[in-house]
Amino acid sequence: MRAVAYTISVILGFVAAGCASPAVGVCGGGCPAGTVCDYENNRCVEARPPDCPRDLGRFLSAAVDSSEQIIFSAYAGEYGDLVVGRLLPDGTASCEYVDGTAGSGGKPGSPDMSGDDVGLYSSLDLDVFDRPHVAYFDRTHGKLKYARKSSEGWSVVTVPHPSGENDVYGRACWLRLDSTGMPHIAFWDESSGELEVAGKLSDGRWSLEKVPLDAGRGGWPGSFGGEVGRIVSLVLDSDDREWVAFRDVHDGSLKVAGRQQQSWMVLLVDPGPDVANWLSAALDGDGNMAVAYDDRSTGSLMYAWNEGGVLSRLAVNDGRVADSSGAVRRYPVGQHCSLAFGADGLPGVLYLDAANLDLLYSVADREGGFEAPRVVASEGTTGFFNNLLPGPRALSCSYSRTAKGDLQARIFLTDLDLVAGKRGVP
Amino acid sequence: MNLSCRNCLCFLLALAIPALAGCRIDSPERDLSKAAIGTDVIEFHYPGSSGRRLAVLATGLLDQAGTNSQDAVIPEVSGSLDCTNFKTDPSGLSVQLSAIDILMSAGRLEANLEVDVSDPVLTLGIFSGEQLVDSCEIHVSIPKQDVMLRIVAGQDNDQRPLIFVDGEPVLSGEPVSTVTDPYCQAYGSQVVETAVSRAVAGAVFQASTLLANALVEALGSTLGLDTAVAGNVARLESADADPGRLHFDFWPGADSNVFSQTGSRVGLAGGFESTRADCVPAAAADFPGSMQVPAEFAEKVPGTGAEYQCAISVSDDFLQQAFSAAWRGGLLCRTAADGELQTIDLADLFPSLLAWGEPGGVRLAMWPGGQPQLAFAPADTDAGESLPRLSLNLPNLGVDLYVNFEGSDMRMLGVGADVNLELAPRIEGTHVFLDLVKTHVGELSIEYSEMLTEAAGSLRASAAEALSRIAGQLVQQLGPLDVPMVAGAVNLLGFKRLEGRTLLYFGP
Repeated sequence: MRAVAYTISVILGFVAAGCASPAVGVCGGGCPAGTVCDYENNRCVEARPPDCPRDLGRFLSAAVDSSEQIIFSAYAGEYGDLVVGRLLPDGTASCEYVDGTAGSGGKPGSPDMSGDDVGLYSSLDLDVFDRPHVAYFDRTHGKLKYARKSSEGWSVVTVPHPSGENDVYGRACWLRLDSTGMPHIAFWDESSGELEVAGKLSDGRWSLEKVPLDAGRGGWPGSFGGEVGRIVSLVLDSDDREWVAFRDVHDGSLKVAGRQQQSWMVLLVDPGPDVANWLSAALDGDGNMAVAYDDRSTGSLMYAWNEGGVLSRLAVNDGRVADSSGAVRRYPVGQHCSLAFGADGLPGVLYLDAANLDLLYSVADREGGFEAPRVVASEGTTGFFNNLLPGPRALSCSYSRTAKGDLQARIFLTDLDLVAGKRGVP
Repeated sequence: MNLSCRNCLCFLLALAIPALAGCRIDSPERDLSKAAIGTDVIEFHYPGSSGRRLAVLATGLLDQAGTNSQDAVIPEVSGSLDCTNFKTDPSGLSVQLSAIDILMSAGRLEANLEVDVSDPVLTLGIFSGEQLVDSCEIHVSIPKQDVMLRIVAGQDNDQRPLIFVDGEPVLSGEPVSTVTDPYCQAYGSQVVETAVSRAVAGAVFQASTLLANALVEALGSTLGLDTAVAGNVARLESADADPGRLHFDFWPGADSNVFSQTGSRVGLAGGFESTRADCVPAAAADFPGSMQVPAEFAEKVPGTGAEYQCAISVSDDFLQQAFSAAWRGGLLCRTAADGELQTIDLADLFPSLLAWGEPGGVRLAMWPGGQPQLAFAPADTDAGESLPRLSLNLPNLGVDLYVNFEGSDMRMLGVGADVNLELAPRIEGTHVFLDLVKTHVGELSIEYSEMLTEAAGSLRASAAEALSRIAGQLVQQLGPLDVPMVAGAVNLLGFKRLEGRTLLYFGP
């Protein structure tokens, strides 16, 4: 029987559905109240709400600022925008449309629905002034973008890249800020099948490096063929050196690349054959790297860690569930994983139960294993794009359907202290 | 390629256990429990008229093994002449099989071998005391020889059938002739040649006996007497804690009627059993072996009256036991991790899938909760079917469908149902194809659904249709099964259903 999960849900900017009846006819005949014309598709659609959009939560990325407030970035699916928001103490949130709004014409309430489809794979970090920096993918142009907030507002750039206009790069991007507040972004160059790391220099220019991968690129088809999971995760050590955990898309393995003085060291963590379609990396208190990832070939959540130069792996959750007849079914778990170390130095992982579309949480014990997984949230369709935050708290995405049958993402926060079965505060 | 009934066993195993397509077969083990052992689960039959075919097959095996030629040593031959002694050096000869004729009769096989023998040349030494005084060659000419064998059946110490030569081979043919170099003839060549001829005849007999033994071994193999197949099967790359394991073991039974007036029959004993995989219910039991009544094989192909060369009888219990053991051993289970179903589209059945976006690959998990039942159903001859249909019932089958959206595999549907598949076997050339001709889905229950906009009634109908498509896809994935026995000019001529058995007749 499942443990009861007490959640503090924050439904962001939800405007009561049904206030606007579906439009009939084309925009030439005008649109009903509360809707505006999407001229590209010649249809009436609901206008961007003044604050957070209703369909928000895909590609969620979050961090906690110095005042313990949660700052997040996410993809607003209905509009194809990058949105950055802040959870407020009263459980509500405020949002900003950062990109994808086609200039001033696309601001909230504007009738212009057009704009680039941006914000996928958003990855957020905060600088020492609690200002958000976000890397994300521009699906319209197939490019990596970077947005940064300053006192003058948001500045948005396409990260320079020597590829051609039609080449695609930037999917599966992951951003981290170094101790000087400079962004480092790891991502896949989809056209060439290369893992790359971009960094902004103090003079404003960008550096770009390819992580050397030995084999397999000869047969690269030139595309992922669509969206993929979080297959890259970047951490910076105490010397601001990059460590990239990534799925090698050429052979389905999990590898870690670490920057050396003049080159990169690439280590094989798990040979696969089909692992790390979702992964999350973190450093423990001693600076050792650990990675949580899914093993698609077994349907398991895996955990790999380095301890004094020794690599170890274990299955955190193998997805096995026995029914009343004694038969064991295997349900895939481990996608949308998020790894973090608690104050006690023990790792915890949030992840998706893909058979029930629930949010699970596994915490390490002191014997070198993991405790039995706990169901954090099970109502509806939940457990996507998880972020394990200090507290510990879980910021996740769930889906519901509108009266019209459209799928709608929303963000919800769970205080893991209140999850039944919780052991001591990490 | 030669026709050999025993060659079909691997095919029958593959037919019995479609899941073998994705399995590995380990090194054999011979540890079948008594309960699993059945008798005459498969029978190989050669009719009385198939002696010539047996001869061809045996010859092929001898050629393949390089035993169609046997060597023997002509020992040293020595003796006394008037004033001297003589001695020949040891030499060798080869007996090469050139033709063979086999007649099957009551209780025995009569084989007539025509052999070519090499013509040896012997070195003759003439001695005075210990002193070699002269040396020359003796040229031996050996005409074609006939070797007649009577081959009968018996049992070895383990009561397994075997065949052996009754008595000794009987050689006949023109006598050996020898020619001695003229300048040695003065020493008394008649005495020498007589002694040499006797020694050569002994060597020919020795080589012929070896050839006869090789032939008997080849015939035994052709008849299926050395058919001993055992092995283990487990799911490939299974990550289950206890993935289960299927064992099979077959050997010629003691009651095999190797030679009779109607032909030769070898019945295999043995069976399948399995250790329980954790994906099947704890109470899952193996299907026991059974004591079958040996089949009666007709002289001609039933219905057509054509002559045939070989027939096989397969008991229904053999197939049922195989499927049950495969089920209990987890070979019918499938997890989402087992890969995507190719070329299957479910979006038309479940329109609400599109709300998630453009669906990627579909993955399938399958949990057979009840013991599968296998039965034969009549062929639809109007549809051109020539073999009886296989009806496979999968009770209490759990099926989960996973669809990939934006990099995530998510379960969209979980159903439970009793599923019956009717399969029509079809032979084309050297391959057997299984066509799914009918699917019946009963007792369907929706156990999980993310298809929130489909009404309950339409969801059930769509789920049933989805199961049909998936079953078709899985059957298609089996691909053609190789049938070594129908290679070359050998074809399936007909079949007959008996109570609990199916007889298949093969011929040119």
